[in-house]
Order: sequence, then structure tokens, then C-alpha cells
Amino acid sequence: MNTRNPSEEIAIQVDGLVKRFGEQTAVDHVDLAVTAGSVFGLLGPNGAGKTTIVRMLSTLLRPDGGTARVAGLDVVKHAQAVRRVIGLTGQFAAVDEALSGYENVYMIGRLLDMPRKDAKRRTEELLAVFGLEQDAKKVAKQYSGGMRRRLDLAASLVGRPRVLFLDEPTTGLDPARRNDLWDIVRDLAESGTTVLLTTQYMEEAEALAQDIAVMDHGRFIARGTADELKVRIAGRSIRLRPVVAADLPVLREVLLDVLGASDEVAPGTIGGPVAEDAQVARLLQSIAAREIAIADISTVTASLDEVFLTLTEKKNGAVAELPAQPNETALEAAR
Amino acid sequence: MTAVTTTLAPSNLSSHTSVRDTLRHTGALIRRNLLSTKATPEELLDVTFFPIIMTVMFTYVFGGGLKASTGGNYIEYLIPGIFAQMLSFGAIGVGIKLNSDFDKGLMDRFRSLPIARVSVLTAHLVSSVLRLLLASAITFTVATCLGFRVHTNVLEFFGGVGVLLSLGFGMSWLSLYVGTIVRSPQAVQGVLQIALFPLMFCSSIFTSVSTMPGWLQAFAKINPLTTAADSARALMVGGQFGIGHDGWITLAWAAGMSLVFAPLALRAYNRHI
Repeated sequence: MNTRNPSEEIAIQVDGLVKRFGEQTAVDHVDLAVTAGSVFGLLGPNGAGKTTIVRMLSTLLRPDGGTARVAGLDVVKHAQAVRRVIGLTGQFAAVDEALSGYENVYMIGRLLDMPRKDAKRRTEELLAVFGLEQDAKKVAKQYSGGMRRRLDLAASLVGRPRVLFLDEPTTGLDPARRNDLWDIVRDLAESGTTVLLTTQYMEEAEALAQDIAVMDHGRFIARGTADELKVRIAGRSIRLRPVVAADLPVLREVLLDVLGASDEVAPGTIGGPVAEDAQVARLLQSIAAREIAIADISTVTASLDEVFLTLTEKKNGAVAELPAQPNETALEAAR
Repeated sequence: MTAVTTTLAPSNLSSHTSVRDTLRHTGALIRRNLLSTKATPEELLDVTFFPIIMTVMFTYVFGGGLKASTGGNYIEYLIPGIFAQMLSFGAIGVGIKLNSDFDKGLMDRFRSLPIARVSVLTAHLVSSVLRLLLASAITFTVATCLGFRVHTNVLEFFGGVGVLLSLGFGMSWLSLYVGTIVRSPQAVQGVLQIALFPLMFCSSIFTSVSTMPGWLQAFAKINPLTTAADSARALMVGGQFGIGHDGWITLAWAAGMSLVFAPLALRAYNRHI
């Protein structure tokens, strides 16, 4: 019946999603498509609307407009069916501190209609995977922050969810624990679980997600892979240092002509923004034609953090023109 | 999109949860409540030490002064009233517990699971009734030590306990409702105590209603704590205490409170952000 490659299926499809809290629009007409088995990163500062999206997709909040489908199921009309295929790890570890690690996970198994034996087996299995079997009998109150996170994640995986929502999963974790969690997320994605993760850290989005959407004030302000975002949004630049300083004015003319801008970035070095790959070749041709001797040449790609800052710090007007194109492209690609 | 549905979506699209499943979910959540109480026994202070203190204090501190108005043996008058007080104030705990669940993000986990949402409330309700039973047992033991004796038969005695528990049941629904609508566990306690203190003092719990001014008597006579205390007196002590319609009025109060606050609590719970 289904002849399509599973990897091309859309696990999360969001169209024109809106959520308002009183006067404030927390999520403002967001469109999104996540391919099954991939990791999608929702990146943005506090209050950008990331958690609100996750809460709508995990049936905890009703959208005020638009539609959202998880595994092909409408999150409002088929909320209960959606709950059967998702796992949620919220911003605050959702563990009962008065219960042991074992009892926390076992309870979820029973709530998911597993017979006692199966719930027990699954609990032991998950506690082992997350390195908690030694502390299984301890009450969660005595767990460290990292252990609590792992326990929380274990609890959200009891039902083998096909779509997993991770809302800032590594906030408050030390780097070693964070890397452990990253490995777990990668393993999950490899085994076919679709993951939507929110984060404030560019590094995390880059490390885990194939596709990234940058969010601010309830909107997606940019979208693409980490590399695409770096190049397309903050841009790449080229730097040239002529052997003879006297060639600088000519070189500046060439850059202005080919790249549309130029700037003396350091004494004796001139630079300009590269918008597309072909420009580099054309630039080198022009330089060769004028027989300017070049001592040093380099291209610089902005770090994703710079992209992030550029995007979120820009005022609304400037932001609006940037995302239009990447948004369309990403959507086309996803479809 | 149809292709997506065939491989990713579950076969069962219904939003209905069977009664058996709901009972199992409730059971798993009751187990959780009991384990949690086991780990933090101080949660039981309000239904263990509080009844002891109230019983001893009222018997010895106010007993002498109030004796005359209640016709002789004050402890026989007081203890059924203390039961009524325990079972209403003991219900505050369940609202506090529910409210603190919202604080911890645990509610998000429960609400994102494919379970009947009512099972979270019913599990808390059952735990609440168990707490109230414990409070009753402790009050009864202390009262017996202080000289309280049951003068009716076993059937009547347990009938009295049943009437009192029904009031606790209705109060628990009120408490769960308050637990879903206010912002903090402290607020649950504040709101319910403000509601319950006038009910407690303007009732027949500590002294006969006939000693109050007429306008207050009108309120005190229909107060569910009065009817609960009076029915308990009739069913546990008997003799001079007749039951009249008090038993039925108390049951009507309990049913009314449950019918009003259960749907309200469930609705507020579903809407809770």
C-alpha cells in the first residue's frame, strides 16, 4: 500500500498555527514540516514561543488558529490518538520526587496499559539504558539534576513514541551530562524516532538537528540546515591581502564591482560579502585579469551564534525581508 | 497524507477510554499517591495529630464551660462533632496535593498520556477518602481513651461513619476544584480555611445551636457541618440525640457538592495551562 520511502514521510505538519494569550500573540502563523525520523531544532531566546508550539503539538494547549498534525493526526480532533504516539520531556523534569526512579517509570508503563510484567521489564530496560539501575530504588528527590533529566526522558520513552518532543532538554546540565544526552537523542533518531527539540543554544541545534528554525516573537525568522543558515543569513565573506599595498584601491574597485561592497577589514586587507558561490570565481577572474598579486586569501563563515544574534537583534522590518526566501525554500524541500 | 497515516498513526483513533482501562489508570495513580505518602509521612499530620489536638483541647479546655449548654456529658456531644470537623478539614489536603502536582510539570506528563483525564482526579479522591478514614480511626481511638463510648449498635455506628465520610467525599470534590483554579498550594489552604472556619464555628459542632442568636440559628441549622454532626450524634450516641432528617440532609449536601464540583473540577483540570 505504502510505496513511499518512510524517510520522506512527514511526521509533524503545522499550517498557520496561532496561539494568543490575551493581547499577546505567542505563536504567530507558524508553518512547519518535519520529516519522519529526523531531528528538528526549534531555536530561539526565552519567550520566543518555542514551548507554546511544543505544548500545542503535545495536546496540552488548544491552538487559536491553524492546524497541526502529528503522525497524520490532528492534535485537536484526535488528541487522544496523538497521545498514543508521542513522548514529551518538558522544561521541568516531570518526575514525582517522592517516588523512586523505578516507580516513576513503572507508573507510566501501567498508565500506558502495559501488563505488570511488561511494565516491569520495560522499566528495568530503560533504567539500564540511562544508567540509573544502581539508583533505581532511591527516591527521585535524591537524584542530581542530570539523573532527573535522564529519568524524565526514560519516562517519556516507555511507550516507544514515534514522535518525541524535547523542550530544552539540556538546560541546567553540565557539559559532560549534556553530551551524554546528545548521544541518546542521536541514537533515538537513528532508530527512527522523529524528534522535535527546542533549545536556546545554537551549538545544540547544530549538533543534533538536520533542520533548524530560528524563532523570535512567535515567528520563524529563518529556517534551514545549520550550514545554510550560516551562509544564507549571516553570510560568508572573503578577505584578500595584496602583495603591494598600492594595489588596494584597484582591488577595492573589483570587490565593489563583483560583490557589491568592500571594506578594509584590517590594515592592508580588504574584504567583502559573498552571496553566492559563483561570485568567488568571478572575483578571482577579475583579479587575474588585472594582474594583481595576492599574498593571502581566505573565506570566513559566520558562526551560528553570530547568525542567531544577527537575526534576533534585528528590528522587525529588517527581519521580515530575510526569512521570506529561506522559508519558502525549506517548505518546498520538506514537501 | 494517507500514506503517513497508515504507517505512523495508531490503529485506534477513538478518544474513548474503557471503564476497565480507567480503573487501571486510577489504580496506578492511587499507588503513586500511597507511595508518595509513604515517602513523606508529614503529609499526614493534618489527619493524625490535628484530630488528637482538637479532641484533647476541646474536651479539657472548653468542655467545662460548654457542658451546661449541651446537656451534661460534653464528650459525648463533642466527639461526633469533631468527626464532622476532621472530615471537612481533612479534605483540604487533597486540593493541596493536586495543586502541587501542577507546579512540578508532572501534570503535563499525565495530560500528554492517552489516559482518561478524570482518573487523575478520581485517584486523588480515593486517596483523600483513605486519609479521612485514617483521621476517623485516630479520632475514635483518642476519644475512646478520653472516655467516649458508643451507645448504639454496630450498624448504626457505621451508618454514622458513612454519613460523615459522604460529607468528606463532597468536600474533597470542592477541594479538588479549588486545587485546579488557584495558583499555589498555600492558596488552596487559605481559600478552603476561610470557607470552612465560619462553617465550623457557626454549627452544632462545639455547642448547641439553640444558644445562638436567631439569625445565626437559621444559618447554623442548614449548615452541612451541623447536620453531619447531629446525624453522627444520633447514630453513635443516640439517646437524647434524635436524627430527624439530618442524615438525609447531609447526604443531600454531599451529593449536591459532588454533582456541582466534580464537573467543575474536571473542566478546570482540562483547561489548566
